[in-house]
This record gives sequence, structure tokens and C-alpha cells, in this order.
Amino acid sequence: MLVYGRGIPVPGFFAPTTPAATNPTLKDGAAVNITTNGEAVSIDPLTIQEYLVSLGIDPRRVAVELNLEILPKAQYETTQLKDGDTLEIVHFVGGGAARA
Amino acid sequence: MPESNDKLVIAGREFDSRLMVGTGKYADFQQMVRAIEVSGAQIITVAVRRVNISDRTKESLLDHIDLKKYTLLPNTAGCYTADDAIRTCRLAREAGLSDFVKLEVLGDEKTLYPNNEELLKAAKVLIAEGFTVLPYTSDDPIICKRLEDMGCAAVMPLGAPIGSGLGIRNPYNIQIILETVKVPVIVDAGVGTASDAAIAMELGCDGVLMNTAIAGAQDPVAMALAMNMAVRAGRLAYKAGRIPRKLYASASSPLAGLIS
Repeated sequence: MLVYGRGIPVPGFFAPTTPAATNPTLKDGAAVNITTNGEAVSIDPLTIQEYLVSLGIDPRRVAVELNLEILPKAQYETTQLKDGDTLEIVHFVGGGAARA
Repeated sequence: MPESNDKLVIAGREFDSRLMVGTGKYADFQQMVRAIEVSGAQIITVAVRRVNISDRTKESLLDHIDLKKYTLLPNTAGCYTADDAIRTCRLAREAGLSDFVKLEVLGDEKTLYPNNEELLKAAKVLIAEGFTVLPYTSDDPIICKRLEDMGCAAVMPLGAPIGSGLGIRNPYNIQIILETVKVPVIVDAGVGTASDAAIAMELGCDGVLMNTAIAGAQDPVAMALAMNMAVRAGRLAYKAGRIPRKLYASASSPLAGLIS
């Protein structure tokens, strides 16, 4: 059974160069270091779908950009996160014009 | 009802309401939902932002919006370059599965005026990618015509700066735009109170889009209803055809039969 790992957020928003903190629950060599919404995180090897679920995100309600390319929802389950990946996960928030 | 056959058509899609409202700046979701409901709006604008991955306790906007009832119009609010706006639109389409986007590319933070050069650049790319583009633009007939020629589904000139509540500052420009383009003209931004919305509609605009005028009112729900009525009243008055303005009086009671 797969255990979903929650990435450990590192202080310093919008600081993708910050090295990811070591997740003590991870087995040696199992961690994947990625950047999610500007935060460096260290997670278990997961697919996009598994990662979103681990974050408590409903995959139907978000859009994901993987390394600056839109990732179609159909590929969430088949796309494995790799070291160095940069993710943007966005959703709709209240807004009319300009700064929402 | 004279209103029943008077639909707003944008890119082949029909809407009964000519008022479009934003979803920002409300005290809470409950107030927002109620205000949108009484506004009668069928198109509502939303912004695209990063999910907070460290705090997932907050409720999501879409938990409160009936997607069968409303058409979401994602905006590119906060974008200052064509590239950012294009990226935001692509994400919005993936999140919402609709091609409708409100394209805004801003020039500076003080005026929130559109950067038309970047706007045109972004519109071109997005139209080529199959988006239905509704651009927020300055009240400039030349830019509006160019946006129409490029294939924008509507043009959305500002009445006054975003959130200013100054009303329709240049009704003559709006009139020229109305004569210049065939696509729907929707006044976006500047409305402060009900009469501003009515004026836009009386000029012959096809719709009005607003957020702050409702959400920022002392009683947003009451203002939403006022805007609903104002947009309908303004539209009816436009369709009814107003009397010409004249300098002098003309009596409305017959002159014959006066007692002497």
C-alpha cells in the first residue's frame, strides 16, 4: 500500500532555490525534490494525481502546470514526479478585476 | 414581457441577464452567493491563483457556486504582460474546462489602465488557440475595432478606472465604440451606483460588468438588486427609444379647451 507523503514546506515563499528540507519519514534515497507553487518540497515518489490527493486537493478543481507546460487532467494519473520538477497548482478564487 | 426575447449573445451563447458580476471583495461566501443570486447575473468572473499548499483548511470558491447555473468567466487580473496573461488563460481553461476568458493586461498599479499593446499581443495568441476572448480595454474606438477584427467575442471598455466608482466618464467614446463595432460592447469597470449602470445600458451597451460597486457597497445584497434593476431599466429605456433632448418646453396637455 502506498503511503502518501506530505512535502515539508521550507521557509521563503517564491524561493525555488532553497534546498528542500529532509523528510525524516522517507526512506533513504526515496525522496523526490520538487518545487510546488514556489516552495521547495521533498516528497515520496508520487504521481501528480497522488500528490494532489495527498495535499487534500480535488484534482477536478485545479489546473496544473508542470515545468511551464499545462498538464492535461487525463495525464495526472500517469505522470510521475521527478527530481527538479517545478509545479504550479492553481484554482479559481473570488475576483472581479485587477487585484483579487 | 418585452425583455423575454432580448437575449445577450456572446460567441453564439445566449444569456438572459446583461449584468455580469465579480466574486471578489465580499465579506464572506454567504454574502457573495446571496448578492450574485439577487443580481440575476449568469456570467460571473473569477480569478486564477495558486492553491495554498500549506494550509488546505480554507473553503474553495467553487464549493459555493452552482456551476449548472452560472458561466464562469476567468479573468487574468493582476497580469502585466501578454505572457503572464496567456499562461493564466491556459491554466484557467484547464481548471474550468471552458474557453471563455476575460483578458486583462494592466499597465500600472495606480490606474489599472490596460496596456493595449500587450493586450493585442495576448488576444492574438489566445484567439489562435481557440479561446473565446473578452478583452478589458480602454474606451478607445480604434483599439476596440482592432480587437473585434482580430476575432474577440466582445469588447469591454472601461467606464472609469477599476474600483473608482466614477461612472461612465466618457459616454461619447462609448457611443463611438457602439457605432464602430458589431460584437457586444460591455462596460467593464467604473460603475459606482445604479444610475451609472443604467446610463451604460441607455447608451446602447450590451451589458455591464462590475464587482466593487456591489461588493463594496454598505449592503452588497441590496446593491446587487439595484444593479439588476438598473441594467434592465437602462436596457428597456434604450429599446423603447428616448425622446430627443430639446432646449425648450413642450406641453404635454392639450392646448384646446382651456378655460379663459
